[in-house]
Amino acid sequence: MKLNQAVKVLIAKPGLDGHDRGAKVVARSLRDAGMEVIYTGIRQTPKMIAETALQEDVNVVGLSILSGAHLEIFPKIIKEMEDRDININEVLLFCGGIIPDEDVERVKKMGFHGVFGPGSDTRDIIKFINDFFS
Amino acid sequence: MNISEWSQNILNGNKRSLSRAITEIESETETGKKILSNIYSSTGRAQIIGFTGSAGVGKSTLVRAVIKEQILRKKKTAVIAIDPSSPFSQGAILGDRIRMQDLTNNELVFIRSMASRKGLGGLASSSVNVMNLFDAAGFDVVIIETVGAGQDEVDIANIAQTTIIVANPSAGDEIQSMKSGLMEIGQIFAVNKSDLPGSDAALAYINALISLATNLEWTPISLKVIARREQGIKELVDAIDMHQSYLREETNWLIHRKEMAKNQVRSLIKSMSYNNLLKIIENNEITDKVITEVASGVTDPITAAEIIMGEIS
Repeated sequence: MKLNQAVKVLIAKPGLDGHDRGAKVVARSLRDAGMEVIYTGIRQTPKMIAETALQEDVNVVGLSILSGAHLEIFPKIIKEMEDRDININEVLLFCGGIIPDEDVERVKKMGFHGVFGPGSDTRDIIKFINDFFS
Repeated sequence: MNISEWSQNILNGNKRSLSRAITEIESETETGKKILSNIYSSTGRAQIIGFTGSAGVGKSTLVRAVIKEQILRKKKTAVIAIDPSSPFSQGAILGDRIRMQDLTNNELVFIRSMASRKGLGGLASSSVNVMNLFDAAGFDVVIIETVGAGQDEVDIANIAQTTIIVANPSAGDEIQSMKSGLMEIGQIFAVNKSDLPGSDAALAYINALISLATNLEWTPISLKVIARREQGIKELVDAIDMHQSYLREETNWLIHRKEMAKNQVRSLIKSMSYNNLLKIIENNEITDKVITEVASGVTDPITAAEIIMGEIS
């Protein structure tokens, strides 16, 4: 998929954990890589995240979750996005935070192309996004 | 979906169509231009309200409180929240939205963040086009929140019908409020964070500024607000409505519309010609030669600019 515009990224924190240092570090490094980044803040419901993706018409959605609720909450976010007529094959989904190794395949099957846990290099995340749009 | 269907969906209030059209307009595509020209005849109903003031003064928090008040009044409200693009990477953190995020799911609200990109004067170059799109899509109120503005980023006054200057206590003395620029363009002045010391003095400076102005048809309204606690917001929205009825009933609205149209077209010409010029200049071999001469002191900057302009015209 090619883009003739700035890459617009939504970084969102679904659920109830309040640890957003990782989300902020990712947001900042994507900014420095020339992307336009919106960060939702903590404690977002699936509806809020999907509605924000709709209103902002983002190309990328990155979810950061540390509470362990990813298997519960990720499918809900995808459903809410689809309900809003967002084609999730046209939006690049990735996630980070605490996703146990045994869950990675399941999360990828849901449509998340990248899973970036603790210790990930922000340069890899930037490359992952740029590769998708080049 | 063809462009006339797409345009019709926007007029019918389809959010997805609207949102995607904004992206087209922001990216300055032919599709965006065609949509805009299809829907333009439906514009002219919305209140266009600008919020400006320095960075950190509380614009986004105040906008959030104002949206809440508009929701109570059953007004469909769109927000264009502009944040600066990096001059180095072109990237941006669009951080206004986070202050209003709790209103995202409200059916009456649509918030769109914009990076200023190549825009000058505190706006993005396509802000005015996006504003027209929201107007045509049937929003009663379109709020434009500028980049945190310096003293002379006054372009918002050219496109908003009502401009609100957001100030803080302890933001300076009398001389600051006498300066030209930002302090001249407001129809409403809101001293935010007015639970902090110095708010009465700030309000007094602004009132002095207003009372000494002799060239105003509308006497600006000044008030104190505390955006975070949602205090003074009803009064602020009443003041906005008061200025709006003044514009629409007591002045010649058609003359005003023509003035706004002139400003919109001018500001578009300004950004188009600036961008075109930059393109030509950057691909011009004379430019490099003359700039090298300026750097070595052989030519002065004014002469150099005249040589380059002469070359391309």
